[in-house]
Amino acid sequence: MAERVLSAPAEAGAALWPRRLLGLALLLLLLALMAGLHLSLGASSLEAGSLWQALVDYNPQDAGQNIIREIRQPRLVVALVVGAALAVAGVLMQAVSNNPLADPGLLGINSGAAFFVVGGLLMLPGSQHGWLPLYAFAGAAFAALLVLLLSGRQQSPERLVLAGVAVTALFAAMTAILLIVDQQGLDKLRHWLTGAIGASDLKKLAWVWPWLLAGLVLTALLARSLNAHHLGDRAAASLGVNVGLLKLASLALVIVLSGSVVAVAGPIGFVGLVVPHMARLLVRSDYRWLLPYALVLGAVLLVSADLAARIVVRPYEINTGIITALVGAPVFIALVIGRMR
Amino acid sequence: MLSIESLTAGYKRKTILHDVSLSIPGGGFVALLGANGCGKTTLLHTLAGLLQPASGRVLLNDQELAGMSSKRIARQLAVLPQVTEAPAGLTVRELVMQGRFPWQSWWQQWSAADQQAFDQAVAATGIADYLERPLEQLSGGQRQRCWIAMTLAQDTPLLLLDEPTTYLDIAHQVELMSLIATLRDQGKTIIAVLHDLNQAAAWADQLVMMKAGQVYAQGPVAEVFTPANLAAVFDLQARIIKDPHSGQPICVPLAESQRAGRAEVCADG
Repeated sequence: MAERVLSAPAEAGAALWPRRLLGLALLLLLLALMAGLHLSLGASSLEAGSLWQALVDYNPQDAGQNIIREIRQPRLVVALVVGAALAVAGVLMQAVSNNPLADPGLLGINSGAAFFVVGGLLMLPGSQHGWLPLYAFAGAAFAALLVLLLSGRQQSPERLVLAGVAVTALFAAMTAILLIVDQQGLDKLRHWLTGAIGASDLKKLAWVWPWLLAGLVLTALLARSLNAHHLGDRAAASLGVNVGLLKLASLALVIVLSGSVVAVAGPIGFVGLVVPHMARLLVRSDYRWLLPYALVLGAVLLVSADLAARIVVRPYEINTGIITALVGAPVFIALVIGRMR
Repeated sequence: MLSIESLTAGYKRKTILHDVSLSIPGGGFVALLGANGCGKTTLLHTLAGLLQPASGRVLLNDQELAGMSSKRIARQLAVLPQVTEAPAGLTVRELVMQGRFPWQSWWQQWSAADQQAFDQAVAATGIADYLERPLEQLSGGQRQRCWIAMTLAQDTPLLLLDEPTTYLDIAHQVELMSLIATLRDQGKTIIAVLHDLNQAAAWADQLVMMKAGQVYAQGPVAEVFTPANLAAVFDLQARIIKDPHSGQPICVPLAESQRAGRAEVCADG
């Protein structure tokens, strides 16, 4: 037996490296393909030639190239970033809550952030745009606190989700009340509130990107501790993980990531629920791979959803959040049924 | 090596340990015995720094545990928790590799020392045959050995084991006991909660007997393993005989009908 141990590869984890990297490269290729389709398909379809030209040798006079660079490209960038951030937030939430049903949308964090953003915009009309993410963070934190209080000490996954649904309904209702009071605001915000991505969102991205970048970098630093935490709270603690601090940091990162996304594109649900499960099918439970895989998969999913939003009822558009809900709701139901068996 | 001074600890609204003092010297195998609910696990968790004492101190090599970083503690002592799960999607190899967590950092991921400790832990627990299998597919006994391997891979001078023989069949229990004896001979200190009194008496150097949140008796097996102590701690009437070959003390519980001669046995003990 001892001989076999000695002849084992230096580290089996190392043997996985080429496979994992190849998988990631394939996903990036898929992302590039979807991004290309996203740029060339839409209300008016454009040829591959004009797509190439728009990217390499942009001529603003050409109408087709103009659509690509001024309308679709900003929208693509927003979809990429939003999808990636939501997916990473979902991985973090499922990890620290030890709950496969956790998602910033289902647990009320998105709707809390949305309510605070709407409230902030209506109550303080003169506020600087740079403040918007901060409203969203405050709302996300408040909602998270409410859900934690409601779900109690003995957290069962189902109870946590139930508390999340209640808080989501509460904030959605309060947002509706605010908008009834202010009819003008309704027209401006209705689009945003169903999770819409538009060309103008690139400007909003400028207010939140430092937050998003910081959030993603700090999440990467947690990967090792998340791996240890996967063994259970007590085992992680005995391995030297400060479990309380890890949970607090993860929650703060979820708040920053999903708050930033809400400030840009409104509450988009289900990406944070679905993508971690997809990533786990590919790389199982090593967070050092799970996080980058989820990042790319989230971007792929949201770019695809945004593409579908623009082409299924051409020349009209559906909001992207509605597409992600159409895809995500059945997955959610399947997960719940799977747990009940 | 590890000592506690007038320790009171427990959970919210319930104090479990009352004013416990205990000193465990380095390099020995200490078995922690006591009836269910007497505070063995609470004591083990407090010794490991997993539970903060309400009052009193835990000293590891004369340094207070409360002031040490959890990583530094994890390089000194490893804990095998009582209920060990099978985290979803994890292979045996990945579990055992996690034992090296306190020795690694973000920029230094897997060293030769890590590999050596990993190989030794795998060889000592005999789990090399199913390293690549998911934990979920293993039997309770196999899984328990994998968790023990994870604890060994941590390569600490101190090992705290909470009922390590759970799920193990008798042959593997004996194997684990002799593994612990080997580790002790290598200079490690092992503290283990055990249920089998005879196993504890046969293998441990020292016994700590707990009753109702306090240490009732502590000392070498020969001094502490007495009918009087067993009666007080476990409410068990038993006779202690000696194994004719090894001379190890063995406790034989007495049924109601046999207890007539109890007084004499106690007088002997």
